Amino acid sequence: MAWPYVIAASLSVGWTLSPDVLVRLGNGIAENRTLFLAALGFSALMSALAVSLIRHPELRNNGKCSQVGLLVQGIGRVPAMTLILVSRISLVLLIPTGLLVSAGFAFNEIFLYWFPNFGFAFIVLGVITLLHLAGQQYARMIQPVFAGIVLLSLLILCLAGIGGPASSKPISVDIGFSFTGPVLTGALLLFLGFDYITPKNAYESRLPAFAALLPCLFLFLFWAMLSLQYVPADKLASTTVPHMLAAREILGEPGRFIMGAAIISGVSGAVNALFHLVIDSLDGLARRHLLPGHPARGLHRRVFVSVFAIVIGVFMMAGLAGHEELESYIQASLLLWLLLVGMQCLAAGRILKQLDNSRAWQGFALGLVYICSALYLTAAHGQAAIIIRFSLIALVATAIASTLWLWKKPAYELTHTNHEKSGGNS
Amino acid sequence: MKRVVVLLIAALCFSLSPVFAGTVGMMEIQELKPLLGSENVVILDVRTGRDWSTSEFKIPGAIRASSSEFETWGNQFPKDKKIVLYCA
Repeated sequence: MAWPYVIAASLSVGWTLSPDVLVRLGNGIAENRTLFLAALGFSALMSALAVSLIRHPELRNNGKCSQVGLLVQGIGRVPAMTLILVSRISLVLLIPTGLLVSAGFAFNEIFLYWFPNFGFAFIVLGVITLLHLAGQQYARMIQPVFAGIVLLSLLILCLAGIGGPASSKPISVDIGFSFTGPVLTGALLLFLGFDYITPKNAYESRLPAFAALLPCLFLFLFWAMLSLQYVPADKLASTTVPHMLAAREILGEPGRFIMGAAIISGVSGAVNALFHLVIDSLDGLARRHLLPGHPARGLHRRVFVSVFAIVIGVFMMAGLAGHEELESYIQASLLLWLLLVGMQCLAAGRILKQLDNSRAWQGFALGLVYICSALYLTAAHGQAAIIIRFSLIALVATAIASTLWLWKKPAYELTHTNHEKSGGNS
Repeated sequence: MKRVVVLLIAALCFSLSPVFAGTVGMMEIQELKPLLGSENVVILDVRTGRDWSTSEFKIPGAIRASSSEFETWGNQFPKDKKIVLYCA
């Protein structure tokens, strides 16, 4: 009975346990010291509040148990279609392109020098695609293994670090406050993914997200502090691989191997979770006849998985990972994800207000914080112009396509009468 | 048919062009190691994006140089020194 909880929890942490998050974590603690730990705690709290709101029991009937239903009823069909399509598709195409290359380099540089990094990146992509093609249940069952390896690796390194020499004589002794707005606000991006709602909500769906969130927070706090103790702060702030430096300082060569396993598993878990997240979101749209060009029934999962895998493969072959712009596109897709979570909170708040629920204000407050954070992070980014251009083009084009689709094939969403709005436990 | 043959020959010439290109000396890691820190050697790390950022191996003292700015290299780096490009 506990297995569905474990799967749901491991899917929630797919992005959070990826090497990209470890990079942001290492750089963040070095730049902001103690204040970054507070930002981590605040971000985790925000995620927990957002999860508890988005998955509020009273939204189960009214939000139709899904993210799509919640957004459609909370903000309308065209905005819901536009946001879901843009944020999800950009996530699944861009983040794996970058992450898979990271896994390739980790395998090549840590385990087998002679093995081509791109070859390994394609193998990981191929394995995950095959799992999804074989059946969604297989792709779900493997997720706890990926998440478990990352958690175990970090735990081993943390325990080794606590007992190591730098625990008594820390290298970076300056633990004062340093304020960098974008880095502190960017901590919100580390805890994305907890809005993922497992398709079968036969059980209390908030529990797996909470169960995953807390261990991640504590592990991140420990890892961040240890990294700062073992690696000089200026080096940790400027490096692009802070997690590798910390692992090497803590356990030497075995530490590199352990971190290498964590990187490869983290990438596999993140790519797998993103595939699930996107396919389930598109399936939710398709079932409501809100996916442009798709008939009103379940999604052709295999076709979409294959298309995503091919496009990611083409991006890698075309050398997108070698372009500096990829980081801006990845940041844009993360900010769109943040915006989506904010809109989900607003939608939840709006529905709860209609139901006279006392937590409605939380939805508005959380939504505001997430949306303002997304806008601030966009404006503060060094490549803000690229992010704004990318986001605007994608949003406007998708909004036009969604409007045309609804005009051509009108879909009617059932709305609840006052009597039905009492919520429920189904 | 003629057009196909011409296209095939063009493709063959294109694919063989690197064979006839000017030779660029290759260097093994063991050859470079003793030269590290030397004043007569400039090491340019020409990796970009994630090829560079996700790699654990960065040569100490290497200068990051983008191949898209190749035209400016002549003015940027001394011609009388050995220039080593690191790309993988």
